[in-house]
Amino acid sequence: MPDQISTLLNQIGALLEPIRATSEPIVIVLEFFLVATTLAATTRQTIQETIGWYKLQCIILAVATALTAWIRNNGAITPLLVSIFVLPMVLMVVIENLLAAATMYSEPADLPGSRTGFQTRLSDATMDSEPVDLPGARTRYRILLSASDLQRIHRIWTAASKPAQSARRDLFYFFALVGIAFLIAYSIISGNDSVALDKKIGLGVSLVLHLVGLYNTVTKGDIVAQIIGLLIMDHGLYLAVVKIVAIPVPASYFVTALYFYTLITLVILFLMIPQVCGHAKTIDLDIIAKNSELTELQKAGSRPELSKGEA
Amino acid sequence: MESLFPEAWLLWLLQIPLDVLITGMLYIPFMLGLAGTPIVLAREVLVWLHRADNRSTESRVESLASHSYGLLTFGFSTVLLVMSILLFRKFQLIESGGIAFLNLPQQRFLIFSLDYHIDALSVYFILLVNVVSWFASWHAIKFPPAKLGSGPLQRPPFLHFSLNMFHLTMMLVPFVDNLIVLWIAIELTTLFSAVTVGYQNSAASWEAAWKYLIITSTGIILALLGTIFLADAVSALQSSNPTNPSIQAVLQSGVDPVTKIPLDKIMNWTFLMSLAQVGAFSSPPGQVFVVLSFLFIVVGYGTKAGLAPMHTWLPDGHGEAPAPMSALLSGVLIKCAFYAILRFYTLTNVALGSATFTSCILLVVGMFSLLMAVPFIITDPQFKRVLAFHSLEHMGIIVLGVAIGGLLWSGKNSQPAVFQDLAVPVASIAMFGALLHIFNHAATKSLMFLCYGNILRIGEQVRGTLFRMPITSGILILGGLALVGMPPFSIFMSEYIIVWGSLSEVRAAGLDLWGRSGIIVGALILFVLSTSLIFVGLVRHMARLTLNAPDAPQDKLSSSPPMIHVEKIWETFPLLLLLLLILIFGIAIPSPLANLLSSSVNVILHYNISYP
Repeated sequence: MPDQISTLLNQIGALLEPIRATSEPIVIVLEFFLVATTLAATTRQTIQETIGWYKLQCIILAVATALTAWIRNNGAITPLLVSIFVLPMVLMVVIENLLAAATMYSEPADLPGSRTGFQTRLSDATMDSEPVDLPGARTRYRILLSASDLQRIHRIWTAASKPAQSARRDLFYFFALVGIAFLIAYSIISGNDSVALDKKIGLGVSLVLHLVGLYNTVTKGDIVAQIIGLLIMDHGLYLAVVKIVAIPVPASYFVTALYFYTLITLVILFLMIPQVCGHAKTIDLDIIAKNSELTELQKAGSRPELSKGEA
Repeated sequence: MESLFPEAWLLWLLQIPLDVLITGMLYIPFMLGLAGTPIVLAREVLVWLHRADNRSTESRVESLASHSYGLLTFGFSTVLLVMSILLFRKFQLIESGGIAFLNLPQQRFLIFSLDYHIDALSVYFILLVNVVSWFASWHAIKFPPAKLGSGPLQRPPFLHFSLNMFHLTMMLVPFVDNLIVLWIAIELTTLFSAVTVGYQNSAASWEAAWKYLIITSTGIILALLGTIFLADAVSALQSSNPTNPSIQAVLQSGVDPVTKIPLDKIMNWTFLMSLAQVGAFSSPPGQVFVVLSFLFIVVGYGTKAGLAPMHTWLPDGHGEAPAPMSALLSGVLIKCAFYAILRFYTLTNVALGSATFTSCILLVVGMFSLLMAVPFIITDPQFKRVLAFHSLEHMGIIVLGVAIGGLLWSGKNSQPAVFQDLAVPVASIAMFGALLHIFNHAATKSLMFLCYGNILRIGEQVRGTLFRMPITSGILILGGLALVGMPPFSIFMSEYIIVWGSLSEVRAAGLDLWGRSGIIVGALILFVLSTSLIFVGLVRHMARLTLNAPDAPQDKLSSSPPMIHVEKIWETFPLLLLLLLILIFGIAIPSPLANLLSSSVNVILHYNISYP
């Protein structure tokens, strides 16, 4: 690492030294805010709200994990600590745009006046045939979105948002999962000193994020909610790495692994969601599943020997 | 083995250092993938430059580029297969000198520094990956573009690119020692396989790809959490300042003597085995974290391995992917994920001093997988989905074999009195069968997918294929019989060994209906019933596909007898080779492979091996 950067980081560490003693209670409070943002994201009314709460969770996670790593590292600011802070913040910045760019293809792209924004000549040239099963669906890779594109996306997201009734069900399951998570955490980690308590709370919150994220992935009816659920689980992992793995070297391996995971997930999402939504013209998973069943039934129906009785 | 090469050449090839050989094996698919990137984009650039004026030229250029790339991929797959056989031979020589494994730390690959661990189990899986990849790359040489859409993701060059990168990531899995790098390698397989599942560009294929991505991503997160718990076990051990001098010595070997900062190898499998074998995890809190880690690993990597109830991505993913990719997904990917489970299985058994807990978990998972497959194999109308459910069935059998093999494991290389005359520990018979079944299933399933891929070249609605493609259909029928465990094919051999090992364990443990024996007998009864029902299911599908069942109306699209498709030698030769392979292995297991499998069993059951 260049000396100037190292000196700068040391100076920043020295400036922040007086607040290190009070940072541990701050971290615990932030962890409970993580649980609160997870609750809000799970019981949200609209997809835009979910994304908003997720972005807030990114900021809280970045601060909590960076503070924890800073305390554990005796106040020294290292590249690992900076990388711990950077990943959630980058996700906070890019996630809404990425999801918007990907799910925009659920509407027909060739309505009059709808071809706005930046479209590459490359993508125009590549699509020389329409998918037979859903005519009119085109897949275009857009990078920059205009204000009207974002408005259109918000309309799609609002239309796909679930009704108020399921919020009560979500609340019930949320608290059940919180109970299970903290029961596991308190059963695994023994001891009543401050270190053990800190670990119990950290593991408990991490498991809450995992379980609730998994719940969102499994039960929510739209693609965006599934992705947010996955990313919340990712946050749980992130917290577990920083809070539970006390050894610096494996922690850096784990952080690298999480960077890989996030990168791979985002790449696949950017490649795959436009295709999925482009064919189905929706982000609703039930409709997507029904469309694919319909396609398969149509294929099966054209086979003379496959009647209802045989299926 | 020596007769395959002239002796002088063999001696020269065996001089190649092991680290160079391994690094070369990793660089080849990487460079092929890198070289393929401009080929993937070549057509798009040509079309952009010519603005759709001369489509036939672009198609000819792209076809030439695609076939060349396919041939190149196949050529280098052959080189990789030869290199893996060479690796096998080198390992045999090393093992004959009394060395059970080799660690090669700090090996450079691209910008990364990796620790390699080579033992019998990793060599076996490397052979498996390269054999199946060779057949898949052969089939993919002249793979057609997708019927729907024509973006770069639906063209053959992209398929070849994905095959190469997929090959690389799957080869990385058995080589690496570090469990986090192992996780990264398995996660990378998702990247290069998920997009190809949607190759056909239909609603169903993209939905299948999405399901595959979401479910396996969820599983892989849980697998990383399991790995984190293992790291915490080490952390808890260090914090407790153990007084046992053996444990202290091992811990100190993992720490820099000057700075006291733990070295990179803290999460290496061999380091963790060193700790486990000195009893470092025999008491809480380390023991609790090891147990928790194993549970999350079974769920996490079990999702990727297609074990029930996390298997829901399997039928859609394997059913919609192109044939070579289906062969790799079913033949190799799920086995690589199971390889990770085996490493944690061994570690947990040594840590706990007993395999009862882990084997019971695997027994439940194995039986559930086997039973879940049965109704869907019988009722699902789509042949590729049926093949995918067969993967679920056979993974269940493999897991069952491992579990039964572990149930009688006591941590010591001891033999029950009734088997004193037996040359091998009785616990290892079922384990041997399970490991052999990994290869047999991979070969047979690849054969089935590639055969069906050939049939799909002439049309998706084809029936009565025996009259239109007699060679391929004949091989498909024989492959189907092999898949359901008919003799004299290899799957029958491995299933027989598993049953033989199970009955030997019942005899060793004594007939105790409410104990270990009862569990094994119950599992065997369910196993036999399931495989019988599966036999009926697959035969029905095969009859429908190949013989055009007599009560079905004639194909409405044709009024004349169906035309026989002229089958080219390059289409059928690899299938015949695969068929020959599964036939030979059903009659007799070649002794080098049998020795390799025995050594692999010793690795899993930790017989006569000590980690430094």
